[in-house]
Amino acid sequence: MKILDTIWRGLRFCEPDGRFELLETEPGAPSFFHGRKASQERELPDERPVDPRLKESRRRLLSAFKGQVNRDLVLRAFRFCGTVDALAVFLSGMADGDRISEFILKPAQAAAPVKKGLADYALKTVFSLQEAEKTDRWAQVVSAILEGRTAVLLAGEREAVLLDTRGYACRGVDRAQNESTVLGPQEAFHENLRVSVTLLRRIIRRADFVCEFRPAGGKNNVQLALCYLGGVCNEALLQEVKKRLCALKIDALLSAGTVGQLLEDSPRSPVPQTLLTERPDRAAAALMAGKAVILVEGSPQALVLPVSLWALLETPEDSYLRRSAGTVARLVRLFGAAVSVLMPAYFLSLAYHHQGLLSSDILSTVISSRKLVFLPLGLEMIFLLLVFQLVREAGVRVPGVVGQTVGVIGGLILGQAAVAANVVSTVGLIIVALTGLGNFVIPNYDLQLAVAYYRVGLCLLAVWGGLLGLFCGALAGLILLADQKSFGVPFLSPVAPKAVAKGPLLFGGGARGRGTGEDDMNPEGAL
Amino acid sequence: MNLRLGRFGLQEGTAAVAVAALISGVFSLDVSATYARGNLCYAATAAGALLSVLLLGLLPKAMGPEADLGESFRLALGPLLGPVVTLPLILGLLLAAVLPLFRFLLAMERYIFVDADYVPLALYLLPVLLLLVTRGMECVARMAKLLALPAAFALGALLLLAGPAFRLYHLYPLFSPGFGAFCRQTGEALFRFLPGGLALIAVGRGCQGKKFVASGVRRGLLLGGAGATMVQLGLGLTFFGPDMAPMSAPVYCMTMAARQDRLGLRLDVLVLFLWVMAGLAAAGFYLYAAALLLCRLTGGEDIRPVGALMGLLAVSLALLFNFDASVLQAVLRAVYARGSWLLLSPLLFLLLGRALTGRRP
Amino acid sequence: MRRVFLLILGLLLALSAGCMEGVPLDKYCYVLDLGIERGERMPYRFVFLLNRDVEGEPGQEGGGVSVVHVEERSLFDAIEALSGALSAQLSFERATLLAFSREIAESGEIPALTDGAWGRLKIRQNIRVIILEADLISAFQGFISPEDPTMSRLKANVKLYMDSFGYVEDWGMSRMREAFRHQAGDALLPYAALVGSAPRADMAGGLAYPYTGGQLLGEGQIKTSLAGSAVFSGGRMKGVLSGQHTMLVLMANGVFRAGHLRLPSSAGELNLALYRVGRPQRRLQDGVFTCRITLEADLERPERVDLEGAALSAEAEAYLSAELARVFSATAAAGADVFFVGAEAMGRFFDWESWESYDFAARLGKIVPDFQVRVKLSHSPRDPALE
Repeated sequence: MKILDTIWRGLRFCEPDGRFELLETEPGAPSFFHGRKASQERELPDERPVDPRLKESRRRLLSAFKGQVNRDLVLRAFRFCGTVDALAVFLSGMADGDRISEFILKPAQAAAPVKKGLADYALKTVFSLQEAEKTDRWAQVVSAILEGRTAVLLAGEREAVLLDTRGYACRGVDRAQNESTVLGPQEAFHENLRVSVTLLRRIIRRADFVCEFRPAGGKNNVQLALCYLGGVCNEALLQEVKKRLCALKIDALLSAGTVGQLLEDSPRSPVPQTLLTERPDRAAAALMAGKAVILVEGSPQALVLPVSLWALLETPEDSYLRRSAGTVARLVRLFGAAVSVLMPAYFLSLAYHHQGLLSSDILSTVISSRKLVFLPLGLEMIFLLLVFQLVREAGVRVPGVVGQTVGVIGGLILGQAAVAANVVSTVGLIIVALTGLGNFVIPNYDLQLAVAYYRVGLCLLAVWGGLLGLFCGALAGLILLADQKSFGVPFLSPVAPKAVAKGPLLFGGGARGRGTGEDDMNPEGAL
Repeated sequence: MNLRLGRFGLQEGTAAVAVAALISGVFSLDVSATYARGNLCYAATAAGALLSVLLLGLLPKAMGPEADLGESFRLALGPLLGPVVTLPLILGLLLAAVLPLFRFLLAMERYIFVDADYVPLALYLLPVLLLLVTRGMECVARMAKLLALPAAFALGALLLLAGPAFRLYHLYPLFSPGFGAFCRQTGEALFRFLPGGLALIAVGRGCQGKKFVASGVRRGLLLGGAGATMVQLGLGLTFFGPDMAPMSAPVYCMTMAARQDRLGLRLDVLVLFLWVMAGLAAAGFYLYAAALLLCRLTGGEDIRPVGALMGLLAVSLALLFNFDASVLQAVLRAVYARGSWLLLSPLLFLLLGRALTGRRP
Repeated sequence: MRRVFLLILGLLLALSAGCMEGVPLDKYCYVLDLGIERGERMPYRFVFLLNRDVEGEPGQEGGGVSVVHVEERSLFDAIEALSGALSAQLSFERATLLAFSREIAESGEIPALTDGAWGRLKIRQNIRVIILEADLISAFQGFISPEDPTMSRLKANVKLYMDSFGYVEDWGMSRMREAFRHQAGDALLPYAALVGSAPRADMAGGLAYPYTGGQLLGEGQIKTSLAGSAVFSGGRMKGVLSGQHTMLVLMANGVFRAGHLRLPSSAGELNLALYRVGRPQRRLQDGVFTCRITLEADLERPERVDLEGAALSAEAEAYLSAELARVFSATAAAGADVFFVGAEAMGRFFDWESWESYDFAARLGKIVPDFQVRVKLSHSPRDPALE
């Protein structure tokens, strides 16, 4: 019977699916192309004051922090001055337990009792931590606890005392991984906002160096710091930045890069309009020039704005090189960038439409290298460019030594095999290799990616329209760059429009070549 | 309001006028009529440029401090006549953009893409032109500044490449086709140089003051005029006049006149395309100015549809003029010969109106 | 919605623009050199030097190039005939040499052959033009050597002979056509012959060609070499000038750069190395063409010359002046204005019509030449510098 039952069950196919389904909970039907409109309801800020009843405060805290299940929340009850009931609230792991014990609980319990003004007394006389404040707003109490501070609630008091007991584990100040230099400092920004700000303050020791801490705008409630030189940075620029920061609404704001994307003038443009840097010296140089820098808690990069195309093409080392070396480096970089953008398309335009511009030797070489290659020349070039991107992405994703090996395998072995199998020609491979090298000399990663896909478009235009297609494509790109602005500053300034440049664009350089201000930033005062 | 006038500086304004004057000075002339009986074009070009500087030097005096050409017409000539007189100016600027495009299409079809038709060639130029015009004057001015250097390189390369073929006797007989023809060609040359200056005056509000506008016009016309004169003189030294008359683009043929073996000197195609790019910047400048005047005239608030329409019209006319229909060819000849009146008459009306009424904005 | 509409419009525009009939370079067969001579069955034989080995085609293979010939009425007919027989499309974008046989040149057919729609073939206007003495197939085959399949050596020789030796002038097609059309001056095109051809006196008498410098053409890898210049009157070839006579014409025209001159003197044959030739002063007045030329020269092997510097200069000046006059008379008698006297005459006219109606060619023969050559020797033969 059991056997028959098993067979019958096997033949019936009637078991339920049993897999978990995440069902739609929102009412109504979405539109054909787009989804539902985002809910227009905004979370109202919590305007409740601090309740003098400890029981009510405890209830609110347990409710807000899901205290029944969230074991991180610690509600330490004690007697203030031995007489008054008090509650010390902190998040385990975010707050330093030793500091709480040493500087809060011990002195609080041993303090002499007073009749009134407990919060004030506690703040000024009892607690000996360097950062402490009072507040009567409940939202501020919750926010402080989330930051790693300790909130001390006193029975009968309408004010809570917030004490800086932050002590979460984090790494030390490390070297810059992606912007390494031979000359110049080696430190990089840190995930801890205070540490990052400190790194900047060590370089800029000016009283007008302002760091405005404010909520970043994400629902994960991290803080960000807007840094600028108060007497230098253009006020209108600051107002615009603050306006855009206030308008930020995003679920999870995890990095400075996200902030940059949300603040940009043209989010659809492939070219970035802000600069991400992990070097404090580079950010400090930008601040001194009248730019603004945004640091985000949890992100070891600073966002510099506004920027121009020339700023994106600068490396951190440029500031430290001497005049001649700096000029050569800059020229090589610009040449590399130009080769990267134009060379494949230029070759294709000549090969398809303007063979008269190629020498007989080059013609013979290309023709003989393309014998038996079945892919048309244009398709071969585009295929190679895309394969190059593939190898590059694979090398970046795979960590460590294996990632480097991927590059070697992709570049050498795959290339050789492709030539031997007559999939591609040697000339095409060489051109793409040079193009790739030129791409890598562009310092900004976003710009590298933008260029990588722009040149595929130029290649198509070159195949279809020869030099006319190439020039029109290049001109269209140039028009879009010329029209682009970064926080009101033209993207191609100081070339177009003309402005006084702080650093050299092409020639010159070194410490003596630097001017006194970024004219296109319209700084308030001369440095 | 979305007229996208923006703000641009003296360098950009001067570059816009200079590039426009250079391109029009070189490409916007009736080759077959100008060179058929000898070559005095270089002298007429220089004279036309200088005359344009003089004429346009009078204009800012007739205008208010904000240098708004449209408003100046209205105040000097009244609310009825003022707008009417602006219309030939708009047409003149449109035609000034058409002529170089027509010549480029002809040259590309004749020398580079011999198997292609005019329409595909024009369809490559059209999106770039539309993009440029609809982005506004700031973009146009910056592009003119960026393309000024390649245009200067094209000019230098042209003269260097053709240099070994320069012979003084190509200019002989020196005074052919005569003083009458010289005067006529100088008048025609006005149509090559006035549009650049007028366009800058039309968009003068963005140039931050009448003084900068006047300075930009003067410098731009002198620079562009000098460049165009050098090219015309180079042409005159390279070919006999009657040999140039049947050419589609003598400037292109000039790069292949001298014997040279080095592959690096096969720059004829590259030089032509540099001219084309500079020509697009010049055409964009003219079309933007025309669109702005039209918007001011009609009360339009967005330059983009008007600019796009102007761009489409310009390319369409450039295509039409390449067809062999006698009516179209007659219109083209009339434009070359009498086009300067489209620009001169509004100026004369403005000066006259200013003198009679004494009204100034 | 507007953005989507504009994007669709942009895509439609882009798709309508389309391809400009581009053909990749490996699908072409490039004509490196083109030659035209009299055909046996048809009016012309067109000889092509192609940049690839073409199997099954008449011609000699060597180093990746082929010589192919077709007899037809016109170049376009020849291209049509050849295209059907080749595996790739013909392209003239890389053509760098245009050669005509002597017979075609003397028949005056070059203007008719080169006018017209050649521009549609994308043949460059400054393509080098030469006149060949031998039949073109042998000549083209004589150009090819295993180490130099594309004949770039010959073309380099034209440049070398012009810049360093002054024996020929480099002419492009557009300049040649200009010379055919107008009366400002006549063409003096490079002339090539096969090595081993018998020497003959040139049209000015005295010096023989095909010896460019007056010596025997060396036996080498290249079997065809430059031999002098072909003199034209209008579009018709009238004769040949030797290399040395061509040099004198170039001096008088102000295009000579450097070279060697061999001339007889009372102290024996002199070899002068000319390194600086001043711009000639030319004038045409009252039927007399005056041309003053100043040369600076070094005497080769001065120890062999038993003559004072001043006397040597005087002899050289007299010889050169006489030779120039002889060349002028010979070419003018043939109606060839290789000294560009017409250009001097043109400057006296005020309008194009009167110049066109003035028959300068008929008056050329009546012009009296007056050449005044001044030779400055760097070193006296009795006192050679010790360097």
